[in-house]
Amino acid sequence: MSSVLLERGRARTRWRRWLYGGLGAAAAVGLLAVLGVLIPLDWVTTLSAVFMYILLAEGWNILGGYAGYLNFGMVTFFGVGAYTAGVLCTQYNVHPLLTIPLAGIMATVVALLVGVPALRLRGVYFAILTLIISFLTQVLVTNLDITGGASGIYMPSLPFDPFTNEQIFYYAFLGLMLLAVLLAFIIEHSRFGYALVAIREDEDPAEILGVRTTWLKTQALLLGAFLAGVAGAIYAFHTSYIEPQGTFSLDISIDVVLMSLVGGLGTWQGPVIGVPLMLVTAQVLRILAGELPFFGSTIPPEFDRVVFGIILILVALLAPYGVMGLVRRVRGRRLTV
Amino acid sequence: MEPVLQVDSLSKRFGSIVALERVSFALEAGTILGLIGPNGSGKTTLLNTLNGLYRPDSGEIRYLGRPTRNLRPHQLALLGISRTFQNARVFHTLTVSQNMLVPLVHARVHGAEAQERARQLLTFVGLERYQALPASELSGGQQKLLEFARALMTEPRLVLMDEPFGGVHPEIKALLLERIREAQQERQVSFIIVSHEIPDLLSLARTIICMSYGRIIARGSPQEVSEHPDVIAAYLGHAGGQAQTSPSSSVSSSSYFEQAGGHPS
Repeated sequence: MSSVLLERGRARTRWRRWLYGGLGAAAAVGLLAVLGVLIPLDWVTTLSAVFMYILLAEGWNILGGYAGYLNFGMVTFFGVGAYTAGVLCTQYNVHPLLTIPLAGIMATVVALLVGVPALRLRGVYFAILTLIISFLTQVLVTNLDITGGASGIYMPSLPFDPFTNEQIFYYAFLGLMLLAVLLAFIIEHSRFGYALVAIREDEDPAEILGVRTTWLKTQALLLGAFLAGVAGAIYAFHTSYIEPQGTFSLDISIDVVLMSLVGGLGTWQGPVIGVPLMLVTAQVLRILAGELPFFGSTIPPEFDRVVFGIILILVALLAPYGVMGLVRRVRGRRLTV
Repeated sequence: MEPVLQVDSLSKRFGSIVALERVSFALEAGTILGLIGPNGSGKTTLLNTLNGLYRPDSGEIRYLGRPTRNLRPHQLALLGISRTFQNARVFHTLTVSQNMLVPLVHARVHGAEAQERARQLLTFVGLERYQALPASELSGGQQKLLEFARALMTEPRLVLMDEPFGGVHPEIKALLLERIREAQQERQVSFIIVSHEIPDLLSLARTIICMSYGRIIARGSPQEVSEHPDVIAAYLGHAGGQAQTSPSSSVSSSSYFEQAGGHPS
C-alpha cells in the first residue's frame, strides 16, 4: 500500500516538474521570438551568434558530452556545410534554401567516412585524429579549385535591408537551435542517451551488455555533424563570404568544447548555459580591451583567449561538471536536508 | 539434449603467459557450473573469452550449437549471454532504473514494457525503492545486486558471473544466492560462476571445475572436487597439511571445503 502511495507521489512530482519545465521553456521561447523585433541590430547579431554556437555545442555534446569522446573536429563538419552551400549555390545555381539540408547531408556523409575508422579509437587517439582531420580538410579546401582556393567564395546576399537580413538569420538560427535543444533533451531521456552515457563511463561492460558501441558512437557523430553542417550553411549566407582560414578555424572547435564544458558536459542545458556565458564574456572583454591602456598601447582583442584559458582552469578545479554540475550539487543538497 | 555451451580445447596466451590451455567442458541448460582456482589460474580470462572480450588463439566455443569464437561481445549479448564483473561495473551517473535500460538499447521492446521489466527485476533483487537514485549512491553489495538484475534484462540463457559474492554483506549474499537459484530453477537460466567464496559455490553448483595455470585440473561434483588431491595442492601449495595460500583463512584442506555445509542435490 505504502509503495503504491509512494509511486503516486513520485508520478505527481514528475508531472509537476514537466509542467513547470514546459511552461518555463514556452515563456523563454516566446521571449526570444519577441526579442528579434525589439532589440537593436548589434544585439540581434550577437544573439544570432549565441544561437549558432548553441546549435553547434548541442551537436558536439551528443558524442562529446554524453559518450565522452573528445571531438576537436566539429569545425570540419561546419566548414563542409558552409562550403557545400557555397559551391552548390554559386556554381550549380541550386536554390539557397535547398542547399541548407544538402549541406547537412554532405557533412553527415563526411562524418560517416571519418567516423567509421576514427570511432574504433578511444581517448586521446580519437581526439588527436579529429584534430588531424580538421587540418587536412582545411588544407584540402585551400587547394581545390571548386572551393575557390584561398580566395574563398562570395555568397549571394538576401534582397533586404541590413536589419531585416539580420532578423531573418536571427529566426533561422533560433528555430534550428530550438530543434537541437529538443533533440538533445529527447536523447538525454532515451535508451540511446543512457547507452551513450554507459559508453562514457565504462565502454567494455556497455558492449558486453549488448550495446553496439561503435554504431551508437557513429550515430551520435552523424547527428552532430548534420547539425553542424546546417549551421555552417546558414553561417555562409549570413557572412556573405567564406574562406578556409576563418571557416575551418580550429578556434570554432575549441570554443564549442569550452562552452559545453563550462555549461556542463552531457546535459542538454550545458550548451544553453555555457554558450551565452562565454560569448557575452568574450564580447565584454573585447569592448574593455579596446579601452584599457596596456604598456602604452591597448589590450589586444585576443586577450579573450587568455581569459577563456583562465575560466577553463577554474572550471576544471572548482566545477568539473560545469555550471549544471553545481546546480545538481545544490539540488542534491537541498533534497538531502 | 544439446548443451547451452560447449567449449573444446580453448587456448589463449598473452605473450609468453599461457592463460588458457586446451580448456574443454560443456554446460547443460538450466544448470550452474562453479569455477574455482587460485588467483591467476585463468578463470576471468575464460569468462572474457566466452563473452567475446578476448579472441581465443585456438579451440572452439559453441553456444546453443552455434560457433561463437568470432563474435563480438554485443553480438553474444543479443544471442543471450550476459555477464557480471568481479568489481561491480554499474554506470554511476545513471540512475538505477536507467542502468537497467542500457541492455535494451537495440531491443524491439516498447518503452513502457522495458520500464515494467526493469521494475519487476529490481523488485526481484529488492532494489525497487532505489530506482530513481544514481547508481553511485548504492552500497557495494547493492551494486552487485543491480548488476545481477541488469544482466537478466535481456532474458539471457546464460549468465557469466565473476566473483558475485566477493566483499558482499552476508544478508545481501544470502539474497543473491537465493535469487541465482530462483533464476536457474524458474527461468531456466544457466550460470557459470567464478568465486573464491568456495562454501557458497559448493552449495549452489551441481558441477565444479577447478583451474590452475590455465588448465582444468579437476571437475565433478562438489564432493569429488573438494577431495581431489590436485585441487587441495593448488589451493594449499601441497596435498593436505597446514594451509599456506587458502583463499579465506588458514584452515586445513578438509575443514576448508567442509565449510560448504552440504552439497546441492
